[in-house]
Amino acid sequence: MAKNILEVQNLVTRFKTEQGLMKALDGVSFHVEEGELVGLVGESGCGKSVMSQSIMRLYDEKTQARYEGKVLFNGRDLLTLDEKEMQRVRGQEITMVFQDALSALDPVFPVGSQIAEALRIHQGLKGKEAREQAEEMLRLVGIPSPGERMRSYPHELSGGMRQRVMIAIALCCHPKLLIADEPTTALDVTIQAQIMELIVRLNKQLNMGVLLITHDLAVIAETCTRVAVMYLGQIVEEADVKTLFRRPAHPYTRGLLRSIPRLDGDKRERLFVIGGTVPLLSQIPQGCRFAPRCPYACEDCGRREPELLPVPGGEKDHLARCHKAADGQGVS
Amino acid sequence: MKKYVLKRTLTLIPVLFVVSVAIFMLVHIAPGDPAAALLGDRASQAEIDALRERMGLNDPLPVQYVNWVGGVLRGDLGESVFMQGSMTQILAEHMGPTLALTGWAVLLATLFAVPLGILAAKNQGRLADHLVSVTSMVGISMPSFLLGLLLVLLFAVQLQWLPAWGYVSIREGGFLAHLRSLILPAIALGFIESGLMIRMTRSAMLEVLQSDYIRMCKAKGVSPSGIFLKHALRNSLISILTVVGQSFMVLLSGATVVETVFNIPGIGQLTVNSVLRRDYEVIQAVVLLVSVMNVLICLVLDLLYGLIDPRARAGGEGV
Repeated sequence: MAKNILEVQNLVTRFKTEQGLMKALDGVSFHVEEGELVGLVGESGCGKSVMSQSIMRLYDEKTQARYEGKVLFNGRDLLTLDEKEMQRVRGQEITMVFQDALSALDPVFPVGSQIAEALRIHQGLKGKEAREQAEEMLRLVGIPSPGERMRSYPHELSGGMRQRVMIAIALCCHPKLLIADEPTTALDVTIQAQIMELIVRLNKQLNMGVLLITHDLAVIAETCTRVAVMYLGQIVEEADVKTLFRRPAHPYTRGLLRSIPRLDGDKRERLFVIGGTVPLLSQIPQGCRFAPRCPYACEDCGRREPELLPVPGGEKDHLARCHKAADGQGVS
Repeated sequence: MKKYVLKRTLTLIPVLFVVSVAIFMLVHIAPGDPAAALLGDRASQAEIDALRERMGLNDPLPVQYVNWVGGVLRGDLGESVFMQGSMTQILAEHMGPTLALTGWAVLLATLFAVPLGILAAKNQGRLADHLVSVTSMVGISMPSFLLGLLLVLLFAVQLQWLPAWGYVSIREGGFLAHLRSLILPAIALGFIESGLMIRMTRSAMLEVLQSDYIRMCKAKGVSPSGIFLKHALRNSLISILTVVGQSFMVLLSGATVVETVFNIPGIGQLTVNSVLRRDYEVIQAVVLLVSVMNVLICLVLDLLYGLIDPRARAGGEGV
C-alpha cells in the first residue's frame, strides 16, 4: 500500500464572526496517498473550499479562523508549524489551484514573473535561471510560444491559458500534493476537458497526490480513484469511485447522483432536485445534518447524530454517515 | 505605452478648448461693461470708450477669442490695469509661493498618510487601526485656519522656533529659510488632506488584501511582508495616487485661507484681492492658469496609471 502523503484527522475550523465562533468544518478526517487522485464533492457552501484552505492554513489565525485537530503531511502536523515553516510548505510541498484564474493572478505583474516568484522563494533561483525555468513550466502545461507569453499580463490571456498559468505556478516547485479547488468551473466544456487531462497527466508523470475539489460528478467519475462527499462541514460518505457511483450508501450522495441530467432514459421525467438548500452554519440541525432534506429520515435521525462508519456488507473502505446505512437496512 | 501617452495627450486638446471658451466667456457673462466695471463709477464715457478700445472689446466675440487665445499661446496674457504690469509676470510671481506651499503640503501629507493607512489596514480592527482612524477623523474635521493658528501659537509665539508668517523663496534666502517659512503652513494644509488620504489608503489596501490573488500569493509561499509591500501596495497604488492627485488640485486652488493666515503672497491671495477690486482680467488669468494646471495633473495621473496598471494601458491601445 502506498503511504499517506496527507492525513487529516478530526479537522475542525471555526470562523470568528460577530455572532461568535462558527464551526465551518466539524471533525473532518480523510487521507490522500502518494500519487493518488482523490475527489471531494458537495454543494456550494458545504465546506469544500474551507477544507482546502484550512489544510494550507490560508485563513489568518489572528483575525479569521481557528483550527483544531491534525493535518499530517508526510507525518508532520501542519497545524503545529509556525508561520515561517508554513511558508516553506506552501507553494513548495503543497500547492493550490483556484477556481477563477483571472482573479487569482495578480493583475499588475506579467505571468512569467508570477511563476518566477515562486521559484525564487522556494528554489533560490536567481533572475535568468528563474525566468528560464518559468518558461519551461509554461511549455510543460502546454502554452504555445511560452517565451512571448512570459511577458503577458493575466488580462491578455484566455481563460484556459490563465488556468494553465496557475497550474504552472502550482507545479513549478514539484509539490507532493496539489489541491485543485474547482479548477475547471470557470471554463467552457472543451477547455475543461483539456485542463482535467493536464492535471491527470501531471498527476501520473510527477507522481503527485491531487485533491480535486469540485461539484461536477462527471469530472470525478472520469479522473479520481477515491471520492469523499461533504455535507455541511462533514464528510458523509467516502468510497472508491466505482462503489460510490454504483452503490451509494448515503441519501445525499444518491441525491447528487440522481441530479445529473442524463441523455438516455425517459426524457419527459423532470430532473431530480434535492429539496431545500444547505442550511446556514448558524442553523445546523440537531441529529443528522441532512435529515431535514432527507426523503428517508425517521424520528431517530432528527435526534441522534450518525457517525462515519463502514457500510455493512459493502466494499472495503466504504464509509457512510447514515443511521439507515449503518443498520444495514439500506436506503433504496 | 508610447501609443497610450500619445492618445492621452491628444485628448487634452478638446478639454483645453472647452476650458478656454468657458474662461473667455467669464468676462463677458459678468454683468455690465467690463471696461466700466474696471474704471469704477466716476469714470467719464470717453475714458470708458478708450479702455474698451484698448481691451479690444469693440471687436466681434470670435475675433476677441482668437486674439486672446493667440496671446495665451504666446504666453502673453495682457496687462493688468490695476496692478500695472504684465499679467504673465504677476501670475508667475504669485504662482511660485503657491506651488511651493502645495508641493510641500502634499509631500508631507503623503509621507504621513500612506504609511499610516497601510498600518491601519494591516492591523484592521485592532488598537493601531482605531488610533489611525481617530487621527484621520481629526484631520478631516479640523479647519485648516484653526490648525494654522494653533501651530503659529505653539511654534512661533511660544517656542519661537519658526516664523509666524511670510514667505521666503529659495533664491532669496536659501533652502533652509524657504523651508522654515513654509513648514507651518504646509503642515496646516497637509494634515487636513492627510485625513482623506489615510482613509483611502486603508480602504484600498483592505480591498486588495481580500482579493483572490493575495490568497494565491499566500498559497504560493510569499512572506507577509512580500505580500504587503510588493503585491498589495502596487495594486492599491492607483487609488492612493488618485487621492494624492486630487489633494494637489484641491490645494492649488484652495490654499487661500492658509495663505491668508500665514500671509503668503500666493495665487489664493491674488485671487481674493482681485475679486475684491473686481479685476476681471486677473481673475480670468488665474482661473485659466489653475484650470490648465489641473488638466496637466490629470494627464500626469493618467500616465502614471498606465505605468502601474497594464489594464489601463490596454484600454488606451484599443485592444
